This record gives sequence, structure tokens and C-alpha cells, in this order.
Amino acid sequence: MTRHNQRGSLIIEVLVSISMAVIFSLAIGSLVGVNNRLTTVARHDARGLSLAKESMEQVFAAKQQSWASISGLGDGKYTIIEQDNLFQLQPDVSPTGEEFADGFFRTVEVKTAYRGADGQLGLSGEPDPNVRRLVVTVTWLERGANRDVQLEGFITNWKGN
Amino acid sequence: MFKPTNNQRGVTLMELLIYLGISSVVVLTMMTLMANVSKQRLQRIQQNTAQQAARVAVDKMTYSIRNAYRVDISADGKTLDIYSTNFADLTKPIVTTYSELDNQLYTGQSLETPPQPENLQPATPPGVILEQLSFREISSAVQVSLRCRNGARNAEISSTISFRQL
Repeated sequence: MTRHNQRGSLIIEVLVSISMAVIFSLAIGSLVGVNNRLTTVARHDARGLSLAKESMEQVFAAKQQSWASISGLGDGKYTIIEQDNLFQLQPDVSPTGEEFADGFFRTVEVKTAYRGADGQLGLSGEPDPNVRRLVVTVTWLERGANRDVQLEGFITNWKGN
Repeated sequence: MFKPTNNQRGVTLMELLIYLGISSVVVLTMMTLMANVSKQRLQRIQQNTAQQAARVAVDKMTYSIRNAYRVDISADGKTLDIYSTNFADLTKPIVTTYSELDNQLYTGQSLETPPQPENLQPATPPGVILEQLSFREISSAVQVSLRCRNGARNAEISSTISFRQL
């Protein structure tokens, strides 16, 4: 087909096509950015959860070794330290919890466990000296906002020692 | 429909050269992109394999350690013997061993005493290299730290596993 139109493109047509190309590129770029951010958030979430589980496991290990190391503790916040091949809980005085991995802070709370009239463990009833409530919170900063993961469980003196 | 054209001029050498230049840039870009995608895919597969091998190894160990009443760790921290109660015969405990041999994880089980090295079986898949393995006993727990490599990628897991003790 012969084309007789020799006018070329108007400057406005060129500008419109350039701006459309810029908008498309920016949209795709921001999509990649959002994807990267979500991947980082998911990675930090997984790390926070694994650190919290690890901390629960450390308190369980201390309890299995000796119930006395837990039963003597009053309600409050503690840090877990390794001493003489043993996990030991020491009072935590820092307001934010202890930083125990790059940028991740941990709070270990030991609380009284109560046994209701039906014999079930819960938040009310008679204090049970052979059970303690354990709450582990791991917090970290994600783009200026606090994120946290909290695990809760009961530790029992099932061995009766 | 296609209309016959009266333009018999063909293309000039310059037009042909420009076309060739542009098309080679496009083809080169596409080829680089394809090569990168294929390289990333291979690395992702290697990463997944290494991660899966490390996770399976730690899961197996967790299963064995949970019910232990005693663990023995060799001086170099690379062999773990796990003693658990054998309810069929309380005098003969079940002993499960995990050990590193030639950059592979080996495991085996026997009664009363740890299994002989020749009775151990590989616990990491072929092609996966166990780069690092260490066991440490703290309180009533075993701290396992291992790193598996597959090709250019590796995966590291460090885990504390508590056991019941006597």
C-alpha cells in the first residue's frame, strides 16, 4: 500500500507515546518492588517464628533438666542464657527485650498457671505450682513498623522432680 | 487484504543495516534474558534440594531425639548416639546414631549398643554434600547445626531439640 502522508508524527503524539511507555515501565517496576518487599516480609516472618520456637524449646530443655530452675521463678520477663552447658533464665531488665539475633528482639515471660474447678488449665482458678505459663514474643522492625510473633504454652513438672 | 504496491524501490543498504542492527540487539537481549532465567531456575532447584535435604535430616533427628532419655556426643561433635526406651525389652535400649562420613549424613539403629559403622545408611540424598555438622548437648536438649550444599547453593539449619531425659 502506497502511503502519501509524509507529515511524520506530531510532537504531541511523541510525548503521549513516551509518557505511556514511562507509565507502563513504572507500573512494572513498582510490581517488582512490591514483590521483593513481600518476599522480605515473608522471610522475616519465618525467621521470627523459628526464633520464637527455638526459644520455647530452650525453656523446655531447661525445664526437662530441672523443674527447680523454673519453679523458683516469679512472674515476669526473663532472658535465656547459656552457662555451663545449661540454659538458664535470668531476669530481663531491658524495656524492649533482649536482641538475640540481628534485629530480632525476644521477650520470655513466665506466668502463674491456674487450674479451674474442672481441673483444666486456664487463666483463672487456683495457682498450680507444678505448671507455669510461658509466653515468648519475638519482635522486629519492618519498614519502620513493629512486627511480632507470639507463642504461648504451658510447661509442666510431669516428671515430678 | 494485501494490495499490490507500485513501489518497486526495495530497501536501501542503510535500511537493511539498521534493521540488522536493531534485530541483533533484540535477539541478544532476549538470549541474555533466557540464559538468566534458566540459570536462576537451576539455582532455585539446587536451593530447594539443599533445603529439603537439610530439613528432612533435622526432622529425622528430631523424631529420634524427642523420646531420648540420654544422648552421647563424640568429642568432635560429629556423631550423635540417641538412647531411647525399648518397651519390648526394657533392658535393651534402642540406640539411634547420626554421623558424618565422607561429607554425607549416615544413620542407623540397633539395640543396646550403637550400630557399627558398616550398618549405617545414608540419610542425605545423592548429590547433596553435608558441608558442616555439629551436635552439642545443652540442658536437656541437643543443638543441631548442619549445612547442606547442592551445586552452587547451600542451606543451613540450626535447631535446638529438647528430649525427655530420665
